[in-house]
Amino acid sequence: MGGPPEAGHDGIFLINPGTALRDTMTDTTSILNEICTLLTPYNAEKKPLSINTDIPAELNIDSVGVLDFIMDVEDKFDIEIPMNVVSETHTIGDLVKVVEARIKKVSP
Amino acid sequence: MIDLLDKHKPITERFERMMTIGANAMGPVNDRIISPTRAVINGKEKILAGTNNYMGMTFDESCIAAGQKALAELGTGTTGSRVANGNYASHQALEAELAQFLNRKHCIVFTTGYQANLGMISGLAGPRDTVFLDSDSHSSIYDGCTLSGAKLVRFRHNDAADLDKRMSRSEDEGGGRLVVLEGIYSMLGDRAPLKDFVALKEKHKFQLLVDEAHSFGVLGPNGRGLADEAGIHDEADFIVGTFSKSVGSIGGFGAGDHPFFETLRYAMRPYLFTASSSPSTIATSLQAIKVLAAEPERRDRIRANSSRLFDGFKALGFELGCEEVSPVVAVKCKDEISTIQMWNQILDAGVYVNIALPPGTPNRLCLLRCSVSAAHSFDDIDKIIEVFGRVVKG
Repeated sequence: MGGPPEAGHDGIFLINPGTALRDTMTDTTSILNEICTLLTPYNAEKKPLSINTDIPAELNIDSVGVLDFIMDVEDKFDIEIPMNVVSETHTIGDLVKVVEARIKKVSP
Repeated sequence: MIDLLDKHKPITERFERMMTIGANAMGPVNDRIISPTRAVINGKEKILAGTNNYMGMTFDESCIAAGQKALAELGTGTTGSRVANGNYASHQALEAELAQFLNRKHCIVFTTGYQANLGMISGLAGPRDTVFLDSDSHSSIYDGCTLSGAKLVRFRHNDAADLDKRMSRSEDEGGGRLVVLEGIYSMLGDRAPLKDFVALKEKHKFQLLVDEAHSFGVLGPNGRGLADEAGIHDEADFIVGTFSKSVGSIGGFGAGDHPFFETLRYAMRPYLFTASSSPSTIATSLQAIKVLAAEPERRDRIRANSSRLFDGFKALGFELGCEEVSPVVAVKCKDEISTIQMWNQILDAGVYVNIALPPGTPNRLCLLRCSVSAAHSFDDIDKIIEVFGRVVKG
């Protein structure tokens, strides 16, 4: 289970979420894949995603939608991402860094 | 040069699209207000069913007389903050009356309800503290949280188990914890399950603020709000409310029993750095509180009217914002364009309701939102149901 999850951008996700996930998904690629999967229901226009994608601006997600998405990210990785951090997080790459740092903080 | 207004172009485009469909749903002009439930809009008389005038107090004769007397005797405005020259005996009298109504030791009055949340939350919480707020919270709560500088954690709407989870994994910042809930949520009309949240207090050691903006005057055996209805008066550490709904005036308040509550007056920027309410506004609010205390039958009337509208809409098969009787009755609609079209048709048919669209709504819902008044007659309620049946059901 050390490799990236078998997750596509269609929302199909094949490994157990929660604490087990946190233990196995600490590498950047895995986190990136999982974030892209979580973005699926918010990416109404099915725009291609990359680490440089600006989540609210390019995917046309309103402020409440962004906060809802962040709650999903918090629950999937079992971490806390305070709203104060969200306002400084624009791209998918920014969010990957936040998740990586917070996973390390919780599971040193 | 980058034009600072360029970023708002999408809003302009959205507004222009709405105007191609009909009237300005984001602020139709009341040419004349006739009563708490009637106005002339676009030259025609309409039933008002979207004003949050829950107790129908705006034309109460005793309130108008009190306001006129204060206007004549004390002038048009205070021209200053409560901590400077704007502190009148009538402000203190209103605070004392409200404290008694709420059965609280302390009460502080604000110039608007928006400022009450801004002031109370930013006065209570600071940079080392954490505020936990419901995801459906009103913008004034979000803005108060931002102003506080506290760490902000959002939990899923009305979900005490979700709050429990988030509090358990929240990192300790070394400060206090404040949980902010609303008595009635303004868009969907649902109540907070207060007892479920209060049950977490022992485990997580937090203080609780309940915003009773839409429930003050309406709910509870004493009309104090949801904490009164739920019987958790002592567990609700702080209460916030507004005068612009059940009281029929303008202003807001914070209340509590904490021995240092009065210190907040010197810690709340939205209280310190704004002019106090005008004497006529204060006098009107003070009289309205007395009327609300003396006439509990108004609460019986709004309950009966709310039930009638709720039952009528359910009978039409509408999907509503919540499955409980509430003075806020919101009908869920399919999409933005059809919602705007129906709002125009309902207005043309003689009924004003609110239109509520994302991002101002939870879960990107499009809503036609009614607010019931104690001043509505059953005929008014039946007319609203009939118009919705014709327009929304089609």
